[in-house]
Amino acid sequence: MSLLHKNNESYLPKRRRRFNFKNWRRNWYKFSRNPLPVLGLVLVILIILLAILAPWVAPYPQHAGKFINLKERFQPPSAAHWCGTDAMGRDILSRILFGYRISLLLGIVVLSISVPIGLTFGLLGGYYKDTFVETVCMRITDIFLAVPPLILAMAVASVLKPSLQNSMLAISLMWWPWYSRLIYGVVSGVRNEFFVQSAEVIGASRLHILLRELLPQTISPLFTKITLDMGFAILVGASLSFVGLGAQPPTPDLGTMVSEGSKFLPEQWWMSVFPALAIVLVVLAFNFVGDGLRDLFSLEQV
Amino acid sequence: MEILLEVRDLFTSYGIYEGRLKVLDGVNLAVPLGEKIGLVGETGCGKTTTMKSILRILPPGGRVDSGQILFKGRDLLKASGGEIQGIYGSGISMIFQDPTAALDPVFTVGDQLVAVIRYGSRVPMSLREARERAVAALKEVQMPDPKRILSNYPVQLSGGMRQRVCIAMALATEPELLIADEPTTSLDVTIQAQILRLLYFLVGRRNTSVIFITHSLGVVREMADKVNVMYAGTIVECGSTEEIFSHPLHPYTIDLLAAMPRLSGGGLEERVPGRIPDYLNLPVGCRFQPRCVKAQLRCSLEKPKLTEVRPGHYVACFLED
Amino acid sequence: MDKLQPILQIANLKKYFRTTQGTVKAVDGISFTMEQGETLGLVGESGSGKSTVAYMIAGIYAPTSGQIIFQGRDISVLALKRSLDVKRSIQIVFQDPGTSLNPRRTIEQILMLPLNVHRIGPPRERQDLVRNLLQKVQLLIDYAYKAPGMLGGGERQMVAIARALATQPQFVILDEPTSALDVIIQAKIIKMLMNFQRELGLSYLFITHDLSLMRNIATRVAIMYLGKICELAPALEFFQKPLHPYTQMLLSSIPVVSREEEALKPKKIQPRGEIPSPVNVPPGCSFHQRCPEVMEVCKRVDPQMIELPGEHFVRCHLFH
Repeated sequence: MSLLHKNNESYLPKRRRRFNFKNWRRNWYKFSRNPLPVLGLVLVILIILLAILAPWVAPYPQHAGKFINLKERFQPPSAAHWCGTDAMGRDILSRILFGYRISLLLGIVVLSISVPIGLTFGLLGGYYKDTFVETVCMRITDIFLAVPPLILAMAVASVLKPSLQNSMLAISLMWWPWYSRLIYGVVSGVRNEFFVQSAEVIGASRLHILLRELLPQTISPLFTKITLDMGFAILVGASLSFVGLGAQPPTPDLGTMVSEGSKFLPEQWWMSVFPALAIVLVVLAFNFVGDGLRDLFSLEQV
Repeated sequence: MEILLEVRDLFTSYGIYEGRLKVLDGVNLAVPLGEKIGLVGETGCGKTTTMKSILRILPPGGRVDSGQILFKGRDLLKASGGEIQGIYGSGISMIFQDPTAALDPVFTVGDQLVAVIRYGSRVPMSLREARERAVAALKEVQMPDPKRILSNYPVQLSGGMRQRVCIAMALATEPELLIADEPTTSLDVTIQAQILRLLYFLVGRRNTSVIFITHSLGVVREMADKVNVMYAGTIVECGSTEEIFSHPLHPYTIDLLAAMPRLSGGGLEERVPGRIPDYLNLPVGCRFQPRCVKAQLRCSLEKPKLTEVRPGHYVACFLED
Repeated sequence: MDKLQPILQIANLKKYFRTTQGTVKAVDGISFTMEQGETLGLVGESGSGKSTVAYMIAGIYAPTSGQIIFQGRDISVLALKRSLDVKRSIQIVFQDPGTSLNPRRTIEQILMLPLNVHRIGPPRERQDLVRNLLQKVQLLIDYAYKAPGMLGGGERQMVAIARALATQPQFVILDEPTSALDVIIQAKIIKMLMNFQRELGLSYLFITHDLSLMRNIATRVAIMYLGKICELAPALEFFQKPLHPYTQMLLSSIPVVSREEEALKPKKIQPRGEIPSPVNVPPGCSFHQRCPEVMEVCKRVDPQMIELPGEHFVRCHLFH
């Protein structure tokens, strides 16, 4: 009698949707045990909303582009201009909100490029450990890692015309090897576990093993790193534009704003300080969320 | 017969996200002076929890809800931190299941052994004297070339040798009570036999009392004078080794013995299918009742207490009334 | 197809690992055959190479030299290089229930994998087949939606067994399937495995260190030490007349629960000495440093396997 002989008499229940509701509650509990991740999450959501709605929320949306009003230049923070005005008379708060758009866009683009590349290299390098494939993947990774990151980004950005797009490209180039390393670490550790060998013995294709068995193991460190990296990518982008290699004026970019405003320190302090605080805020917010995610994915029994 | 350690009506629970796990349900245990007591039970029955409650090393979320733990007449649960510190090492000592995890990998064997000897001794001791004692301790656990072993790191030793070091560390302070938690489970069979024989000999010589925790009935039969069988947080049967193995009375004990494969052929009987209970949804009444072949109505309503049914043989079951 | 052809033939199988500390001779010349429907028990302590043999048969390791012949075909290569129907016929159940199931997948996905890979049944019916498998191992059907982390050790092993049987194999390797489990669950699982063997005509390679368990399930027993087989005999013969000193040492070490079992243990040989590391295999007979019957020749010459009456093979100078 075959093991798989269909039992015609028994009533087999129809397919049920997996309810994850209980899981969501428990995950939230783990995430929110510390107040900081919750605060971070609130801030992140707030910043994203502000950035999306900037054209409607900013008090002076037209100041975000070409605009000159020399009568209003160098105004300190006031009721009309919460963060003051800059050398061109543009409202700094509005420019900050539009600057968030650029920063978040940069973060998303950089991660969208570097994560898939790093994932591929890391997955292949980790699975094909001790073979030629691993050597190729990981040595290429090492080459990119060996160059000091900011220098690499600057070199690329200065070879190409300085612009937002090119700075995003440059940052992606120096960002992906960290993902490669991370994924490689996870995958090469898990690669010899029994469930992977089971899949091999059963006869699963290599593609299946890579995507369905190994990749899910990387989800938790991957998402934690992605969240933390949003903040850091924004910071690197700001650093690049601080030295003039990122978005060009009149585009409102937080790093450029800090750079321009630094010439006028300390009298017109608001021109540098507020954009800098804006950077700090978004980086911190993502950091807190990343911490919370790390707690969430930890295996400890609550 | 003086009782060295007595656990009375111990209730311990763990708090987790879904609620409170009421693991220990009135544990009663007595360790007379100089005797070796076995604590047997399957995974999840609460034997490690009992041990951790005695030593006050419950993880965060765990707490003793009620009960007494009397060591030489003093309740450990009411003792201050300082008093407990004084008891550990010299009064009570421990051997853990995994010797690799019990030894610090970044210190040499000698460092760890000497540290235990110096801090555990009641009088101040010089480094040189502590080292001599360490060598003597290693000789006692039959380590070849003790002087060289002192400068080895744990990773350089085999599993059996690491466990010997742990035994040396545990006995170096001459404790009155030794708690051994599955000390040979992670070792190979021939090594296990040697370690058990060594342990038996050493505690016999010093007249140390031992609580021997294990899930292996064969091991407990070789090592213990008295056996306590534990299920779901209570002691269900207790008596001398001879008595328990020749006349098991509690249905769980009988199940355990029936399930064991026998060298003479036989065993591997599964009388009633079942799992360890879900500590979140415990049955009212006897905790073994859902799996019990001989359950009666009374069993699902009341909890049986340990009563003496034959001389020195206690069972917690209504069948014996 | 010749019905009397052995299902598995192993010829002088070796597996050496090169490490920074030297060459680990995990398996150093193993030969045996298995008939269809039998259970060959492989016993040994750490360093014996029993798991390595199993992994080579399963295709997780490729042999350094030697041959593995399954149903007349040479399969001495990695699983990834073997044909699909060979992979369907040989399955393995691992020792550690904690890591043999992917913790990030559901039970249904885990059981579906072999069905999908080997295209068993029309795709629409595969979900039902998964449920049948769960029922066969006496697990509730709604376990399909759970993750392995929610199951106990015994239940995970039952899922692992269900997975192994999903492809309707002929040969199942069981690497210490119950060593991490309690004795009552072990009884249940062993009973289940024996039933499946009868129903489905399976051949088992059963690896364990528990000799009492072996006594009850094996038709033949082979005992390994540092990569070589010391003794191989039918089960009854093995336990009633153990010949090799290592076998006797093992038998005398096991803790038993009754007097009649005590009487069966060899008395004169007590365990002693440490197991050498497979990196430093002692010269001559690898057991000679611990052997109470050691002779001069044992220190220099490695004994050969000889056959004694009753299909009893032993590799020891005492019997030359």
